[in-house]
Amino acid sequence: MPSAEPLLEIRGLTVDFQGTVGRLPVVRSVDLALSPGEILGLVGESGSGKSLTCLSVMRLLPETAKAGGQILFEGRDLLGLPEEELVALRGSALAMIGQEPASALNPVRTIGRQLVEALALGGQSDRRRLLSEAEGLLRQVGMPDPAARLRAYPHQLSGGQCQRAMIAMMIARRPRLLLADEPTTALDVTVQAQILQLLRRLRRQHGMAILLVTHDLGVVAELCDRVAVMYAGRIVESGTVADVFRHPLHPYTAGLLAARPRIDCRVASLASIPGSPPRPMALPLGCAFAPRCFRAGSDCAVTEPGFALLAPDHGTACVHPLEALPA
Amino acid sequence: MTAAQPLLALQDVSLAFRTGGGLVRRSRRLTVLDGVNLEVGAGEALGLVGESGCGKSSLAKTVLNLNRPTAGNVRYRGRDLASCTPADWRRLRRQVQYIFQDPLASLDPRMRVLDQVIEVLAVHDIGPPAERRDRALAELAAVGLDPDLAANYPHALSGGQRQRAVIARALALDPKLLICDEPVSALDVSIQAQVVNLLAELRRARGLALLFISHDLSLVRHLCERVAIMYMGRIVEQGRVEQILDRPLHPYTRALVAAIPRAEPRRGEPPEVIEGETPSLLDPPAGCRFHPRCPRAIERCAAEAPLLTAQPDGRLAACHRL
Repeated sequence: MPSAEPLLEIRGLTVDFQGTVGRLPVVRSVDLALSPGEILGLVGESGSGKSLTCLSVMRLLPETAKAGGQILFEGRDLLGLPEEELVALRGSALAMIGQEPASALNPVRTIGRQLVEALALGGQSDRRRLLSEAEGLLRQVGMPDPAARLRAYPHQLSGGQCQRAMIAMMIARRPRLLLADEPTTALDVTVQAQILQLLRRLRRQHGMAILLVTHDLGVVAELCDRVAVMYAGRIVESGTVADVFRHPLHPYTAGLLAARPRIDCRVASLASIPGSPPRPMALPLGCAFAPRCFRAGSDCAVTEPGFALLAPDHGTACVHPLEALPA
Repeated sequence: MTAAQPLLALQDVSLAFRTGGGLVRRSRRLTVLDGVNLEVGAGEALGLVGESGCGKSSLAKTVLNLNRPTAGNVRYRGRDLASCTPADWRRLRRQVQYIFQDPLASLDPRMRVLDQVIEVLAVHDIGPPAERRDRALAELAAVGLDPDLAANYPHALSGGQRQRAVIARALALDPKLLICDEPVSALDVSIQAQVVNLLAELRRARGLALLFISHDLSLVRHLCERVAIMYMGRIVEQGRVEQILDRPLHPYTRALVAAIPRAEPRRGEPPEVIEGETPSLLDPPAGCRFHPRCPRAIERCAAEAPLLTAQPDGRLAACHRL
């Protein structure tokens, strides 16, 4: 949905680690755009650079990592923003939830106190009002018995409840963008379904945009409007969820989709992708996926393909893409 | 189900622990398995599915004698495991092998992968010592690890390669039953498919029976003939994979199947989501353990635990509302 102005626009993002063996490129020239109210899935396997892309937006990269390029949020480059302005944006406009809510919450403070702390950053100081707002937030995220949970410590809550508490804290100040890094990976599937439903509702009610980082294509199919697939630090395909799932262009995307066992039917053998992803210190020349690719030709090992649109809003970085949907 | 004697049979197996006792507080009883009946026939693959804490791994450990059942018994080829002597166990462990979720934790970090396979052959005194190296190399080649890779230490292998090494080591003993506890959960999707295909292939080639423990119903559908669904230490539904996954009867199975993200974007509204989370095993609900979350619960469900009973199509289900 290319509405007037993107909320978030990432241009040529790179993330390098200073290793003992030299510079390790883990995110390599990533371009992404997210419109207000849109849910974009960022998919890839471990080490593909998806979480680091997400952390770059919050500017929470580890100290040994260096980001380059531009991250424009409502037109302002987050990478060049002075620290105070960034701190002001975090929580109010940008928020983030992670895979392990229990470790993101303060273990020695009650949920209520942590929520009040987040709400108080908005300027309000009447404690009683803040507490009732906090209770309202917990109710909004579907926390059972919210008044009692205000007095609970994180260890007294289940994993799903901790994630609800985290989400409550993050939406306290109505951010316009929520970064969610594998928010349901540690949860059971029935609880995962509840959290996905909650995120869907929050988007509808608040028009909040979500950048969802996940390795699970099923979660993307359930929740997202658009999807970008990462491999070895680059975006290899992006488009609407319907286009990418029905007509994948990049052989890697097609391989990932075929590798997933299905619940509704049984196949003789799962399509698997041979080999394993390259390590950042040993990236092949040319296309990083070529050594595992069934469509690779001799040209693939020479030059790294650039990203090109093959249909409106559906593009790939591949010299021999699968067929695009006829326009 | 095989008419002959099953390879593995669990009869009314219960497992309970005492926990949290101190000077002030009395210890409490934690029932992890509650009257579980299961059978695995020779060459058959049974999937055991449930969410975290439902007792599926405890069940596997009970089969391996790492837990002693508090009640009931586990029989392997008719023989009660409780009566086995250490010497019996040595023989038995050759026939029943185990694959855990984290291959790095099951491999010795200071030993080359090849040597670890040779070691199990030596421990079980299989074949002439001079031939063990070749035999180990053949097992490793059968799972797709060539001699170059086999000469590595575990840390130098990728996650998928490590799990292959663990599988080769288990199969070197030529077991009859392989217990897999979430064997691919720690692997990336593209690698998962490789290992799952390998397991399916090895099973066919060697007539292995499989007890496949997983939270992932799609994997079970792919690998198993039968499936048992567990909730809070009890089997709630059991039957042929297509029966159970295409037309789940028990409300918990229905919720579980509905909650799995589909492979394709859904048309229309997302499915209904069940509320709440699994209660604590320290304070399990009376009657049917699923009733507090069950959309179809009636009074009777809170009072009386339903028995696992045969349904018209042959499957077993434990629910008052069927």
